[in-house]
Amino acid sequence: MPGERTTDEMVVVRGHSMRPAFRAGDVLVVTPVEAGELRPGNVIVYRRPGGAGEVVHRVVAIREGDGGRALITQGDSWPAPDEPVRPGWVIGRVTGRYRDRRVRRLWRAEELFWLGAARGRRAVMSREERERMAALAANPEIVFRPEGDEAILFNPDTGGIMLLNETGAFIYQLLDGEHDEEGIVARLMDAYEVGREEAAADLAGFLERLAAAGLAGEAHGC
Amino acid sequence: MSEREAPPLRVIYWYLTGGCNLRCRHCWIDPAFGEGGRHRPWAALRPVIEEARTLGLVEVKLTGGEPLLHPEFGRILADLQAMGLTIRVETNGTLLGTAEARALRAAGADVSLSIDAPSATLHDDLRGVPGAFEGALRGARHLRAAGLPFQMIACLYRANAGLVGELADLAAGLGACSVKLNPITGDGRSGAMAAGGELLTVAEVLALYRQLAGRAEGPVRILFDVPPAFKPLSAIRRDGLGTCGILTILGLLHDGRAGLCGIGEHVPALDFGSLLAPGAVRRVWEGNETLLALRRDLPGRLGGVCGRCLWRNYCLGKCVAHNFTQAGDLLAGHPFCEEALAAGLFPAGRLVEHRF
Repeated sequence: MPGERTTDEMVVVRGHSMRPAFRAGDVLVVTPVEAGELRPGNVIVYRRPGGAGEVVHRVVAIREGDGGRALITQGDSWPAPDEPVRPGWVIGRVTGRYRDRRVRRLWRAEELFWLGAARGRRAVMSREERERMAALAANPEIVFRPEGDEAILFNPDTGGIMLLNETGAFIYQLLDGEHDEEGIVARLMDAYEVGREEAAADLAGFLERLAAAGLAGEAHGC
Repeated sequence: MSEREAPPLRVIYWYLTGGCNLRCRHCWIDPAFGEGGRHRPWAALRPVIEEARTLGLVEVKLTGGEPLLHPEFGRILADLQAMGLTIRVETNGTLLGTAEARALRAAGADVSLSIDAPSATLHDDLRGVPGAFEGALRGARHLRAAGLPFQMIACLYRANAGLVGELADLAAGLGACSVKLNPITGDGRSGAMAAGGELLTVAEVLALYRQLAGRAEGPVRILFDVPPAFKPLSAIRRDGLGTCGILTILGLLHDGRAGLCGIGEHVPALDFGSLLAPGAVRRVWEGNETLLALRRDLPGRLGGVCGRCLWRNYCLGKCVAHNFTQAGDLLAGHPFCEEALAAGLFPAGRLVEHRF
């Protein structure tokens, strides 16, 4: 409802449904949002009419149906999505986390990372989103650890990890804000002796993979 | 902000019997030796499993003691299968005949069978009962005859560390699909083995791990249980991290009590009380203070080297039960990794600064 809320609010996370991205006790910054602006990967706060309280969950899909737009939301650590959420129930979008007396804004790349990591599925990104992903390398928060030709990406704010294979590590180091998509494709063609189409597909695939860390399953080891 | 406070209870580790027909020198559970008693009838425990299903249960691991000592083992398998649960079984193989192998096959069970050495002398010495080796081989052959693939588990210590190649050959000959190598940790009875110098040092385990990693791939896959901090990325890609999903696991002890895992059998602090009353599973899962503390503190308050490890949020301290046994604190750094760090063997590239 436009005009009703104009300023950010703070909410405290209760429960474990958003682990590992958010933990119980985390203080989140919630910004009013028009439902049309929401995209998969965003974390929203909503209140279901008659529901027990406010829920902080991630938008995993957006559906247009006979009853209008519905947001499909899910806790990152839950096995199944919630009942569809109507846009009118949305209180706001989580845009940052408050800690040590400062607010750290969430990156779109993080949202996509957790969207993919929690579900183990490939996130489909628009060209615009892929371009935003290029800002990842400029994000000084992300730790890049090369190991041989491969590498590990680590997010110290979330503890999240993604493994990069040789091509991934090669591309990631070119996401330095100086190379554009064309430039990276050219470097790939040169380094791996592949055609433009293959190199462009590798790049697109890698940028999607940045959002779909393949390691976030659970195994039982003992 | 969630409507539910507790994560789903996905897996029950069910320590089906408090007894065992072997008396292994390295057992971390310490069951009573013998074949009788020390279990609850299925009718008494079925409601526990049923209630756990309402909390998200998808998998049950049947272990012990020796799970095949339970007189209703076949019935339990069939009923768990009918409930749609994934079934895993850990056995010493000695009680596994044609009927048991067929029942396991019918239940689609994922079976791990323990064989620690390529010969009777060493295996029987570790397992404490003459004939244990022949019994395990017989069990393995019954599994093969029933057409059920299985994993062979070998517990590593100084005496068999040089025999891994022969173990892999034995596994291939028996038709096992993989061999899991678990270095003995010094918990439970194996504390005496540690005191007697029978266990491998961290440096020896890591040297053997690297040696095997460089070995040409044989017909049987070898899975070596070291913490993820020491695994090259290629091994992690191929075999996964091999970590414990402790936040979604509950131990069901032989007498119907709950434990963090099997450790509750002999560590009173990790025995969470009886599950036999109606509603008890939910009460324990949602209200037990140790479980609540783990959910609050894992992984953010892991101590020692685990708090600085790149894999902290995935590894969760590797084995909090072992950390508790050795250091008196569920959140203590994993002893293997601590020792490696002190010896300069922890990979520097796997240490980071976490912000929460």
